[in-house]
Amino acid sequence: MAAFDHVRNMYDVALKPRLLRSLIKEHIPDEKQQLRNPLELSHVVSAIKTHELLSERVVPSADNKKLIEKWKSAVDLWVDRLLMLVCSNMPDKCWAGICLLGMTCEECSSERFLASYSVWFQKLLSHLQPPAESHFVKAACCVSISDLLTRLGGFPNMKKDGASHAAKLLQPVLKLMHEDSSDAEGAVPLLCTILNFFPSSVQKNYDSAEAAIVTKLMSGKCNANMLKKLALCLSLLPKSRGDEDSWSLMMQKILLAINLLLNDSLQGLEEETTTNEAMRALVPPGKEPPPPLGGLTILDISNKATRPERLFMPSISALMLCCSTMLRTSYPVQIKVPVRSLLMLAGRVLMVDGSLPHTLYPIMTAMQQECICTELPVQHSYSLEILCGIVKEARSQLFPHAAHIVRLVTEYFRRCALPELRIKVYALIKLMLMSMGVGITMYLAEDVVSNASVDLDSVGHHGGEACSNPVLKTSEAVPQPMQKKRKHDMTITSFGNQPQTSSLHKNHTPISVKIAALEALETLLTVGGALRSERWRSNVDVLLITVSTDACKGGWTKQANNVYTLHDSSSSWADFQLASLRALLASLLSPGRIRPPYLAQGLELFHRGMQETGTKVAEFCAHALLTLEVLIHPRALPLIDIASSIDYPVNGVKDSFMDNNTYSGAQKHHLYSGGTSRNGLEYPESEEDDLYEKWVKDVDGSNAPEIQQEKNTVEKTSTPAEPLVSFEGPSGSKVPEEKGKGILVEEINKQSDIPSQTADHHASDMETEMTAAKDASGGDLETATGRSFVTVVGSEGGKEFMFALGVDDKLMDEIPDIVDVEPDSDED
Amino acid sequence: MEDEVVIASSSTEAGIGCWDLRSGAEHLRYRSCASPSHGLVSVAGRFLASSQLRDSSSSSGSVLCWSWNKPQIEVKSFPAEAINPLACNSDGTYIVGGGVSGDIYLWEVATGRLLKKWHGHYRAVTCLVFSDDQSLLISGAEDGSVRVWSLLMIFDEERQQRAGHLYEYSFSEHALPVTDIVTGYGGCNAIIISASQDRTCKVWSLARGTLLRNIVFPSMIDAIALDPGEHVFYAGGRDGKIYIAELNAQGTSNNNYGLHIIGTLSDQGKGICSLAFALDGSQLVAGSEDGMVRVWDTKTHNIIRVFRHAKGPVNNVLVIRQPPALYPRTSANNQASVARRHVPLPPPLEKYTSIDEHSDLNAFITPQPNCDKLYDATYTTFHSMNNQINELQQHGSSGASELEMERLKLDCKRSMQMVEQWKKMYENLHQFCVGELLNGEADDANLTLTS
Repeated sequence: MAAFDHVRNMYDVALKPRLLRSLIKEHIPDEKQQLRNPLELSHVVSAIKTHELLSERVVPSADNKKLIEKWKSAVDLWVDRLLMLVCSNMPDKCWAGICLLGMTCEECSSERFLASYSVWFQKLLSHLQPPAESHFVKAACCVSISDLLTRLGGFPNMKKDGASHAAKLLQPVLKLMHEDSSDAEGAVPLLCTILNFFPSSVQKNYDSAEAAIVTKLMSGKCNANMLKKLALCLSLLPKSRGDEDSWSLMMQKILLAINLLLNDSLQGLEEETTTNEAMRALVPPGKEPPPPLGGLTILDISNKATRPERLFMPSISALMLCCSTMLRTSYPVQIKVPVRSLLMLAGRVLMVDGSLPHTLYPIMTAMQQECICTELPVQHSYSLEILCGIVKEARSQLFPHAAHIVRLVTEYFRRCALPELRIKVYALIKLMLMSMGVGITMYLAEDVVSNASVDLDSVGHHGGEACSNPVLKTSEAVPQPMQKKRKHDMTITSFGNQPQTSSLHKNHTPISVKIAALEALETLLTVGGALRSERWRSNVDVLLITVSTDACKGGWTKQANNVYTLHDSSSSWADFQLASLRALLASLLSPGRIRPPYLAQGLELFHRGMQETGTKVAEFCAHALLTLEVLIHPRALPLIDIASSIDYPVNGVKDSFMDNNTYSGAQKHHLYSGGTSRNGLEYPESEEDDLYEKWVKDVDGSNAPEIQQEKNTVEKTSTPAEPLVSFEGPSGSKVPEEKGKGILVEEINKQSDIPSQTADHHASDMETEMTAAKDASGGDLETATGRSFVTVVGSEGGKEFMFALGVDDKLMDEIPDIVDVEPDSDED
Repeated sequence: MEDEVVIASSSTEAGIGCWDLRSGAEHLRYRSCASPSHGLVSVAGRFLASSQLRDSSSSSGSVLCWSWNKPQIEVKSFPAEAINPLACNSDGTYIVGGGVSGDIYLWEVATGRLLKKWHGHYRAVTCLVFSDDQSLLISGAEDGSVRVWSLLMIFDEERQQRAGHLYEYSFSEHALPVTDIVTGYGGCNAIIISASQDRTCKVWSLARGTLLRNIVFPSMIDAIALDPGEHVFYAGGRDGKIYIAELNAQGTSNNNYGLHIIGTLSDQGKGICSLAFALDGSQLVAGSEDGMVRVWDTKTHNIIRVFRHAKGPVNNVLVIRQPPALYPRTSANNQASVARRHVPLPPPLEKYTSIDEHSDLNAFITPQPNCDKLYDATYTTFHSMNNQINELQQHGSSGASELEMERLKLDCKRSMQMVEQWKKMYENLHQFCVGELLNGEADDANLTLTS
């Protein structure tokens, strides 16, 4: 009869008790059977999880009563069988029982859990006290108890009970921690769970727990994962006392220990004054130093006799990790973060680069130096993490210290040469920009831009292309005569303050660093793209369009099938493309002094990207197009009128030209890049302010409705011009015309304000360019020339007009650049 | 939707009124407060602070603080001079006050320490506002200037010396005292609107530091409020009208009020002293000279509610989220339980700075209100079990092999026992057989013998 007693479907509740019974029968061994393949257990567990076989969740009703009974008895059977396994003297069966019991704690109904958790707890505890033989059993036991406590912690009215249970665990757990590392691996997370859910149970054993954790931390025998867990454990420890002071005390102890160790190990690498200053800040004269960390006296910590010297540096790293973890952990009470001491520590470590002072007789062997240099990157990394933690937690309270941090970070950034650390610095800068707002962009912008420019420099080399970056440093000789131009242009835009880093990073910056640089630029543009950005903004815009064009040139990488690279967190080319597009969007959206000059190219990139359906790039491109739509079709008239002054025409032409004729254009466009970006910088202000004055005057009602009229017409004709220009496809007639104009404008620029030492160079090169262009464009050039000259005259007129209005002399200096605008706005 | 409360104070001694915006019910009235314009702030929703109008005889000013659940003054501070406007950043870490001498004071809330004091204006400061990302401070003064300060710069002496001046921008286009300043969204792209007794409001660009628009009103403007969508702003005039001025359209001058002014909200009341927007962005709360607080619906241009506050002018109105302490204690909800935990107010604000280069500036990290609930209950058995199963499958690890060995040992032991048993049985059988055999032979012999 039972053979044909079908259930309705796979959702039928009646299926669950039956399924559970058959699982028990087939896979869970009883007293006599052996545990067969352990793989079977994982099938059992996943079946239980998917079908919620232990939940006993049935809608109570009259006809369900029998079913409830049935299910209850099935779960009873399950639990009985598990308890039998847990008590089994066969280690493998015992292990299976412990694991399954832990899973049961998570899966079973609340009523059942509350009714029987203390029995289960006792059973599990019996394997820790006295400890079982097998490591597997001990590890599984720790995990299962941890799950049991986690579940128990979810019931707010069970806190007291839970705490008394957890207190029983402490001795065995601390004992396990003293044993070799594979045992501690299970014990440490368990201690974390206890501290998270039942902190008060540790109160009595506070000192011994601290000692156990610190000893383990400083032993130098833990792997990175274990260190993190230990640090977390230590940072959770102050919770058990639950007052403000214990956190501060712990922090002070750790800082003191670190600085003591640093005093010893950095001896000879830093100034004596630094050492003294650091110690004085921690323990102000006349105050009692705190008790030593973990009961280890200073002698214990830095005793060269008992502790080999090479252990110093890893210990310092471990303790620094504790600092940053303590900043990140949340506490139920208000905590007082000693910002100054932490900053001092971070600064102290970051400023050491392993170089010996020249003047002194070396007091350290090469071996010692080697040992320190090996560990320094780790400590730098943790220092940066501490800084991140401070910035993240203290937020607005950091203003009194912000200048100090900025100086520290920029100074370090200048020297930092390891990819991993640079990524961290970029992340820190990103965090600072986000949390401290507009004010800090004025401090950081220049450094971010110069560093990012250097890091993004070598992008073009990925596809085997010549680099087309305008901020390229060309310190070495360039074979082609054409590229001498570029050299000149570079010197105008480049940031001359760090030739060393540029040569260091030349051409093989890892992708992950580039991504970090792009992200930092994106954040910079998002937060402060418009405020006091004249000096760097146009450079960044050029850089970003170049980088993203280059990144997307070779098509889109498919998302790698990451079955094999699951643990590999390294960044892929696809991530780089995405990051470059994100930064490009920020550059287009962040309002500058002028309309975004590369809107057309950007739109084209996003359009192409959107067609790669199913990738992250496509998702982002769709989002980008949606946001840009508002820019193209503004919903309301903007208060700030940027439409009337379109800039970067030469750049626009250049880049479209490059897109269309990559075979020959790549070199030519170097001609213009530097000069134009500088133009973009200076020019708009002049016309812009002029317009403001006019507008404001107009609004005041003092005169001239015609001027208003004039402004309107300018605006109307020029607003749609940019987005409508199509750069797609190499059009036969248009491109040469543009080229001609570009050169012409360039030449006018050069005549007006190129530094004299390079002018000759240019004149000759320019001439060859001109003739080449003439050959290519023929008659079109004539018309272009004519038109440009007309506009130059027009701008002269404008100058006079501005005089009439009484514009500052300062503005007048920049007038010659005004010619830039005309070719493009005329064009349509 | 979250409940909001309207908070109002007056220049006459009428205390601080506090009403539920939705129901109109009045909460506590906090006693003895006579505030100057812009002198009332809610410090991150934790407590109320207000500077006080004082008779000219006393040399020091005073700033009073109330906690939400007590009508009495809880903390009194006496700064070095009378303070007009007060402002507080959104985290509630700093309180900034503008003195009658033109000095600006910056206190740390947690310790009450006077972190900075600098000379901001030539005449008394009238309003102080933080920019939306809290990194800039905008101040207006009786000398008609509007200045933008970067908090970073304020603390960075090195940079100050290089720059030569402290402020980022100084706008001096207003001819008469500045009466109100508001700033909008957008970080560095935000706009600043300032109102002045010269009957104009001026719109400034923060990014460029330029004047974007100048709007002339028929009356003096004492209060402005910016629509959250920033398409218009509201300017309350001394003539009792609230003018609506547009920001995003070309001006048309064919109406009665002037260029850019597109309408008014008016009920023939007395002059408007203060304006504030509710969080929903459509209800505008206006404090008036006649002591009333009116709530307008900006969509329908109707008055929805009127609160009666005092006889004198209501020169401060704020609309804030209802602080947890104001929820009735009887309700069993979570917010009430948080409120019961009494949070003591911070110490009073210092009169003179006690900061020197050795004093330790700490940062205070306040706990999240529901910190206990933040741990994700992460269960690890499943994961660790699978890991161990993997190890067992590979037979590689010491743990696995040890387990295997234990099992084998026991297996071996059992087999030994089995062997013993078999041996015994064999022994028995053997004996039996031998016995049988011997007996059988004997029987045979007997048989043969007998036969």
